[in-house]
Amino acid sequence: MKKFLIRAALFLALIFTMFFIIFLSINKSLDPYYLRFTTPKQTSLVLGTSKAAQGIQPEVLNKILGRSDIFNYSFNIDISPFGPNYFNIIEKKMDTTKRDGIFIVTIDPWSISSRLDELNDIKKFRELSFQGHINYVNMNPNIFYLLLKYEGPFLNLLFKKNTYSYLHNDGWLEINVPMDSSSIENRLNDKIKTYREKNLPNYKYAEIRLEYAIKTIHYLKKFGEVYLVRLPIHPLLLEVENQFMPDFDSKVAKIKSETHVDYYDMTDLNSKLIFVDGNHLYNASGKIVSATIGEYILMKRRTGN
Amino acid sequence: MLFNSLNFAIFLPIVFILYWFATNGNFKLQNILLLASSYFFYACWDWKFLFLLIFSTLLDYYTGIKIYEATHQRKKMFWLWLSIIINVGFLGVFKYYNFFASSFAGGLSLLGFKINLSLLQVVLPVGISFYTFHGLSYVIDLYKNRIKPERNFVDYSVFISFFPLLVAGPIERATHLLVQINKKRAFNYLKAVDGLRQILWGLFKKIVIADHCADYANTVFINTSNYSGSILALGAFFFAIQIYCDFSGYSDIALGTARLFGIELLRNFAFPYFSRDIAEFWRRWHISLSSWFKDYLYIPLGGSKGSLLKKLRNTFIIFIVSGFWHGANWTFIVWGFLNALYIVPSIIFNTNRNNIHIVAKGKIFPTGKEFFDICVTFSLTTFAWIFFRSTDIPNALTFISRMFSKTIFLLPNMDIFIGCPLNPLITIVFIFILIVVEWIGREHGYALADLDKRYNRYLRWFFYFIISLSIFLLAHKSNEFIYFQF
Repeated sequence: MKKFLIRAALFLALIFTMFFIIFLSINKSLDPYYLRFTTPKQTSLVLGTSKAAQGIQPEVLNKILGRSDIFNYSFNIDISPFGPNYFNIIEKKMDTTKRDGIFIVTIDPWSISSRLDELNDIKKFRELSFQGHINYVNMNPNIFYLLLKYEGPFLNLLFKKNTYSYLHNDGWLEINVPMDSSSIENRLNDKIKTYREKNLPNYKYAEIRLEYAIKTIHYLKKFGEVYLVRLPIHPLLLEVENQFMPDFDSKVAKIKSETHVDYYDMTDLNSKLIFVDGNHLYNASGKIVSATIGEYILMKRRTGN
Repeated sequence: MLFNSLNFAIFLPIVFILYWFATNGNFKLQNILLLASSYFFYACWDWKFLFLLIFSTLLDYYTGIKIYEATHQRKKMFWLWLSIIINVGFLGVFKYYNFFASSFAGGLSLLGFKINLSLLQVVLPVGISFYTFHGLSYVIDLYKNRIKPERNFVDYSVFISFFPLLVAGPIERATHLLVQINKKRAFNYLKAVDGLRQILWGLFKKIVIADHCADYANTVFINTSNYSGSILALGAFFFAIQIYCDFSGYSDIALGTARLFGIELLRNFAFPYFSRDIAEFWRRWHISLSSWFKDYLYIPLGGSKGSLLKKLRNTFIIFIVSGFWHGANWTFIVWGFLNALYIVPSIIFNTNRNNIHIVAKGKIFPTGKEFFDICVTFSLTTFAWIFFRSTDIPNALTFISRMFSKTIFLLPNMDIFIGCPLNPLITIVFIFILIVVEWIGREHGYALADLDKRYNRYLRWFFYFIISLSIFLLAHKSNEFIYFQF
């Protein structure tokens, strides 16, 4: 028995060493989320869903604002709508020793909505299935994420040349898909169909999500300047959003009145930009939007209102 | 709790350590531990069905004693049928009620009668087909005076519920397993190492090959009407590999796990895809179920004795019942019927025992004829798997008619697998490795058995290391084993 246990332990030690080396060798950019859970604590964050993850480029913002610390910590509509779970991983990601950060909090009707019958039942929120197990967000390699969350073969994170998505070190998720007019139109039509047929009947405004948006902003204000942003969207999808939540502006007004945060509604730019699928900005347009947000922040600082 | 999950990777070492260290070699304590672990293992799926398992165990334990103690044949018969009716009744309710109800309603509607039978909205308790067959073999063996009843309830419960075999077999016999449970087990280094090796090989088959083949097969079978004949043929090939690697992988893990506890389970697979005819295939595929049907159905029906017509009748009965055992769907019945049909010529010409011995024994390569026979047998079984995998008969027929069209000669367009987690060409390389390793090891209990007698330590460790690396690199989201649904 002793011989068996010693040899089994030796073999396991060898195997675990190999696993650890593989985890260290993983290309963190090939998974759309992994890298964001491996960086150290951050001082400046971009928050929101996939629209922000793909649409806001920290490199552009950093350049305009003369900084180097802005990190995109946005995920997607199923993972990072406002709520206790997103708030929890934001808290864990924050470097609380600094007080001069910049926080861009993006908001849209879907990020303050719920698909549940019991709208405010936080124990059943959709993001729980993903974030429920994420207790460590600043660990490299993040063994917990890889073992519990990553679903594909690790081989794909070692060798696969993923041309579709690439997660940059600053958290920006670059998406490369065919951008000919017919591909864009097909994706737009699919997106409109999904939003009209699946999202519109199933989503409803959830008060508790709005409360968590307020709570998140209050929390971030302790560590720097916070800007609330509504990102541009294709006019046809904006119609769906307006149909879904016609009083969205009054909800934002509530946030503004409770947090005194600056709000920048970018939907005026809708018709001037290119979208991958109507919802997500194309890389070049994302660059423009990021620069515009940077200029807005500078303007706000200059005018002081 | 799946064998290929992190939970099982934690559960197994804990039970192993407690079994050999905390019980002080007392096999009665070991049996109590095995029973508690097995019930915990089962409860991880659904604790509510644990009561059904315990009830089924109690029923066969009690009726078994009653059969033995009954002095009159009629009383023995009464207790036997009581056990059979209740056991099969549970199986019927959970597994077959909806099938019979909807088939009955469908049949009546063809005659112009419309009836609405309410269907049950219950999930099938995991492993019910397997533990029911365990129990049935026990009471039938008692009735036939082949064994004596087990008086110790814990030992009997371990025989029914031993966790490595609880959810998908092998289907054990009291004459084989119960006698091991009744005896003191001593730790044997070589057997334990062999157990770990078999677990490793089972995990390789399941994780590296079956789970990826499942992705490709699902892609093809879900959308049959969109693909060329060559893609459909490739889909059928991937399913044939998937089901073998999935089920034999499961069996390897089960046998290896049991061996860690000093218990030998019945062999379930013997390299079936190297068979030279269908009769040989069925002697090598799901052996514990085939032999169960042979002993408890085929032989009581008269077996191969009697006229040719009787032999054929018995063959069709066991294949159709075997098909039906897999699931309440006409696809399984057709699958069983088709296999019976395949075997008819060998019964008529009395050639069904032509290929008893291991193919190309002692040789590196098979002869041209052997190779040809293997390919034909594999093609026939793969064709039958189409029914097994299809959701219904029309779907299977569409699949077949499209597969045997001119487009079967087109080069398969592998782009359809682009959404799968792994490039199929990588999987095909691993399938080739699997075939080579299994071919080399075909004269042994499983592909890697007795590796310590065949290769030196460094080569062995290097091989284990590569296998472990492949498992680790290619694992993706855990899939259940196919046979858990039966």
